[in-house]
Amino acid sequence: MLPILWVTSALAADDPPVAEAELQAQLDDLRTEVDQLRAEAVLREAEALAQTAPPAPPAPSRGANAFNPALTAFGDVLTSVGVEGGSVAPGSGPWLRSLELDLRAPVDPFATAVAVIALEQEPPLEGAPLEFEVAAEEVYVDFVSLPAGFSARIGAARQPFGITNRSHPHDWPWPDTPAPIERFLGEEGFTDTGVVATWLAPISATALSVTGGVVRGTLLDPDEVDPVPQWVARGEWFHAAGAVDLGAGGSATGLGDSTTVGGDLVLRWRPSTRRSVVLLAEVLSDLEVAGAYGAVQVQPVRPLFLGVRGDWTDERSALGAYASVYTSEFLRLRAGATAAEDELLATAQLTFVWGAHPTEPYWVNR
Amino acid sequence: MISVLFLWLISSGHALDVVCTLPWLGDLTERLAPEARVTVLARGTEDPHYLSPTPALMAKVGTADLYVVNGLGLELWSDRLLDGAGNPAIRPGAPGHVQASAGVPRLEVPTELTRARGDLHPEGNPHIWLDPLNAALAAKNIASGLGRIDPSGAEAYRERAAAFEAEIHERVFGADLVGFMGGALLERLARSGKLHAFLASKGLEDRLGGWLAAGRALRGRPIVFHHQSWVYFIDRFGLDLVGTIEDRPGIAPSAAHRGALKEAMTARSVGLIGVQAIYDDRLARVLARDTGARVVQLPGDVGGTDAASDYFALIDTLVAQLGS
Repeated sequence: MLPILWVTSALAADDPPVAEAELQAQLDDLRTEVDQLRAEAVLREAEALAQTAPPAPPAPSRGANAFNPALTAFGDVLTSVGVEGGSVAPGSGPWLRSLELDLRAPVDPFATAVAVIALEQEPPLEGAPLEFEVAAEEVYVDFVSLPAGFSARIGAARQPFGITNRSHPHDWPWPDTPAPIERFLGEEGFTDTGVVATWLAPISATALSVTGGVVRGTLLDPDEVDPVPQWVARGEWFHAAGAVDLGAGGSATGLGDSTTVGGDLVLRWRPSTRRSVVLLAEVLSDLEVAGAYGAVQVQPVRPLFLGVRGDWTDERSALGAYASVYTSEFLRLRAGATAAEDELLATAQLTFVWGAHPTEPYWVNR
Repeated sequence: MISVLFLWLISSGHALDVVCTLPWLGDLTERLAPEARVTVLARGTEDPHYLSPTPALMAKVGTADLYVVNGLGLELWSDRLLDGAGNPAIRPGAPGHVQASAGVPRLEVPTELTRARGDLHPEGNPHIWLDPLNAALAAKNIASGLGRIDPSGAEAYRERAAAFEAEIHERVFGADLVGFMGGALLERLARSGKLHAFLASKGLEDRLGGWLAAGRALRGRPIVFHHQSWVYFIDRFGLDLVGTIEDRPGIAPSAAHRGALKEAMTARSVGLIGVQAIYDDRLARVLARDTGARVVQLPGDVGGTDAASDYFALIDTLVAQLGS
């Protein structure tokens, strides 16, 4: 045994040192290969696991109704109590001012159609019977894909005169019609059928727009004595600087020798969606007499809006105060009181919306 | 014809005019098209649900070459803005219109649509950007839109979107793990909800880096938020949502709900109430006082707080504030 060990150790002492280095290199290569195989196994397992990801939920199916217009319904219920000479005026009590159905949808890539159909009662305090009438308040097509900043509206619509006239009563910050609006634009406001086009100047830093059109003439010639159209025009400037919006506009409409003009101003400070202050004023005139209203509205917390408004015309002056509370975007409660000469009008209002999300330009009272 | 004119105008050297509805979209667009003029309509300190479609905003949109919107019903004022802007090239379906959320897996799609449950979003929760993996998808959509209106730059936009995606993967998972497994595979595992279990089974947890590592404290942490904006962040970072102060979106909570929430918070030892800076935090402070929790004001978007100066800083801030 000992001689064999002596021989093998003698032989080993003569092997070159590079063999050990070679063995070490082979060992390192094997380790690397094992690591790579392990990594590949990990990745294969991860790939297999990732393949079984749950599918995304399917889009809701609407079938044949897929292209139906968006439908929104607005309900506007008032309770009006008039006090004249110390007595409650006849006609005081609750009434349904309107139930409006607003339908709108793109017609094709070039136009959007809107129809507003209203079920209305006349104000009972004005002696009107409590009857409902159905009216197509607005039915028009907006051409929204015209070039060079133009858009056009064809149909029956509230005309672009001033600020208040362009929105519906249920969107106003007040429950009643400002006296100058009623005096110069009529009880129902200035709605007419025709063609109106607007050009928005290609200036991104500020908004300058010019509007012009022709309509049938129901405001200035309700008896249709003069078979000529009534023209409408408006110029508007609107600028936003941080939390402040400032807008000014001038409007005019005429038919034959009759002309009505108006100027409007709005200033809104809105540092957040929870607080805002709005100043709003309009002046109207038929070039013989003039009227105006001015309003201030404060939003001290998110759902609460408090406002006052003063009206002046050659026939009437009034001062009113209002408080509006929104339980959500879809339900508003309002209380108001207006004093004019020896009259006092107290109003409670409930306005609610259901259906598609409201798309009205409610930028004043929200 | 109008599209051809626009493409000619773009290719002849005109700087792109891009309008984005939300700040995070503006940040992504600036990364993809640094030479473009990018305008953002909403501020980070504003509630994006209630932006007013004023003539001033219409004027900004009227001259845009590309209009980028989040979608999923978040910007309901957008249609009115487009109608008044008189710019056919950016209307839905036109080459200049981008819905950033297209293709993003949606969460909280309502099974029952009724206003009795508050102001629901019928297509799912729209606050997609609070999961960084969704921001990478949105960047691809924006890059596609940029390429449509500026074909000469399409390759560059695609490359920048790919680079952004690569950076998102590294920020989410860490460079080491991304180098080992690849960002796309990690994303698929993360979206399937199997990432952490897989890493644990393979002894790879220590190789996880980025926001998921920095946000380890968030996993399983019970929390209450004010509004239901956070489902995508919760899903990615594994928070345990005990409840929201607004149990029905947009509706002030009832006394009964506040009482139930307080009980749940006490039972689950909720230590944190997250409120976006755009919301009134008074109810949160009352709950915090009654339960010993802490209220933290969070940015909901880029610019929502001073710290959230860009998209990466937004996620950094959220991970840091909610993990503290």
